Amino acid sequence: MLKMEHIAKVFRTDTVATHALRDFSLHVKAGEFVSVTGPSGSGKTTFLNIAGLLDSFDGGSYQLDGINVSGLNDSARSKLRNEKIGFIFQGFNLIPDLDIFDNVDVPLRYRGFGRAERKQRIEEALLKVGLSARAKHLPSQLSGGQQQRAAIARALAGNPAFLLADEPTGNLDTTMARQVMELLEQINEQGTTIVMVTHDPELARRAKRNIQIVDGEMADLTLKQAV
Amino acid sequence: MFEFGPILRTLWRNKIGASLIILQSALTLAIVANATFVLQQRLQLINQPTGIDEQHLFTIDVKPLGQGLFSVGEIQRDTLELRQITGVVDASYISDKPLSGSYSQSNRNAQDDDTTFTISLNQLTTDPHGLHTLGVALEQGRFFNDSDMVRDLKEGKVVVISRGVADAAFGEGVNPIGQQITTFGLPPTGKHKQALKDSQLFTVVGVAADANITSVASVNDGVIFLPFYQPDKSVTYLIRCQPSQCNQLMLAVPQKLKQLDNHRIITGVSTVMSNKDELLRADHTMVVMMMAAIVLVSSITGLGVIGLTLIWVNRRRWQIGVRRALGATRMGIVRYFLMENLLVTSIGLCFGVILTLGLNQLLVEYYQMQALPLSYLLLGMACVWLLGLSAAFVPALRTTTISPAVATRSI
Repeated sequence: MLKMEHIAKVFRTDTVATHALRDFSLHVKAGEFVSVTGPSGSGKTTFLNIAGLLDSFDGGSYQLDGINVSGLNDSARSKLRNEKIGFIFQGFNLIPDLDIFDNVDVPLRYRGFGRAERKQRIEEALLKVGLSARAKHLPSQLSGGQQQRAAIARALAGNPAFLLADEPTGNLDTTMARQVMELLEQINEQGTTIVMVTHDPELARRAKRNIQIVDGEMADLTLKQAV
Repeated sequence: MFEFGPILRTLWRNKIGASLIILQSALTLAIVANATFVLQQRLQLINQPTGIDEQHLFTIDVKPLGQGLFSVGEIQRDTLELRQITGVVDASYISDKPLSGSYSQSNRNAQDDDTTFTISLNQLTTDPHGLHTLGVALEQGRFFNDSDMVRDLKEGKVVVISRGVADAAFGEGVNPIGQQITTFGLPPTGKHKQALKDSQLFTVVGVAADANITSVASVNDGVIFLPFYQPDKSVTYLIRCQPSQCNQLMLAVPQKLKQLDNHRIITGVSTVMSNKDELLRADHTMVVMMMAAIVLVSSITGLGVIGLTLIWVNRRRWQIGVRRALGATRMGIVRYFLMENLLVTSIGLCFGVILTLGLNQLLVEYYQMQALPLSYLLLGMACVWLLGLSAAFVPALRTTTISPAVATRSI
């Protein structure tokens, strides 16, 4: 599903070169639930951006669902991102001016689905996360947990190859966090591959596999060998 | 992939900014469409052919020393002598300077039981050379001869009228030669006979081509030429020159007149073109002001759209990043902003059409303007659309620099 080999990413200023990721390799198989942990500044976000095709990388190779993403232009990357990846962000990233229905509709419109198909997918996704009754609510009218469930519905509606979750419970209280985590586990059990970036060790342990990034590298040899 | 619905709902939740652009678009259409129409009409009026040989005409005003009046003999002698000067095509006595805006206008109506007959014309007193000096063609009949000329209008028997007066007085297709008419252009025929029973009547002996002789902006029916030496304290001679001879003649003619009689003064020599420029000064000023108003209003609207689009882009950098993360292409985002602008402008234009027609109605009612043609409205709408789109384009292009990674920067 996701195959990164020796990925390197360097951020350069006039005087400083920061190696955000170095010789980073990771294989994720279909149906896996992988958590990625590490301290602040370890390279988690850089990994997330590269895995989600939100940013480019300087070295190595990356195949997403069998497609080598290195040579793709912006338009092709956008298309691949839209078709293959469902994003769940820490801050939910729902568009505040659109109601929940329209928020879930955003990636489906970019996908080019017709009106009827979009409607069906939106309704199914909202039903799956238990927000059918809140479709016409604005994000600001929902609780944090409901907003994250709406974001999960948006990520699922396009039936992506895998979900990329960025601190999905980071802005939620314990109860809400548990509900969202349970929802992610259910989604994974139904066959969707999930890669979750988190700094919470408890949450990371609930994934089927955990990898740790420190200073842009895998934390220990055991994990590297596992990869 | 046009997101009309979500864009409209987003705009509905951000009413203030959108309302400003809607208002600006509506006002711009109303002002630009009406101002362009007024401007076009004014330019048409300014540029319309006058029908006289304005490039080769100049006038000279002469006044006797003391309190005396000019005699007919003096006028006849002067004009005769002026015609002998090399380079002069013709010269004549004329009551009003061409294209000076100074003229004797008459608006009269004759009312019968159920009909009101109105005619508006300029009265121009001149001698037998007047029409040729002006360079106006004679369409029918004849112009005056020496025996037609009188010293008192009450002795007058014949007139020449322009085609417009002929058509207004007698109807199109009716032969006006030999018909009778008052100096106000009213025929004592049909239902108006009774109303004009006490008026002095003249016989129409000729019909001249239509020409704006006294005023460029004349919108009346035309001119009635009267063969009458009007006794006055000053006279105006009209001189028609051969091409490129006017400057020279404007020096030679005063000298000749002084040579003929040194007991009088030349009070003014001016070309008809300078009269015309003076006459049109207000119109030119109006044209400039109209153009300035159009440019100003359009610029304000354009800048408003640019400003608001920039604000929208900057305020929604994060949202753009999220949209990019969810699969929007760069051009998809640009298209979104342009579509948003197009929708706002279109809503503004809907109100603008009402405002434009309302403003035009006021102009029609209070300033006797014509109704705004549909083409101006459509052209105005297209211009405002184009203005809005082009103004939004550059700020919208700035969105292409926003990385989708913006979406993950909350970490």
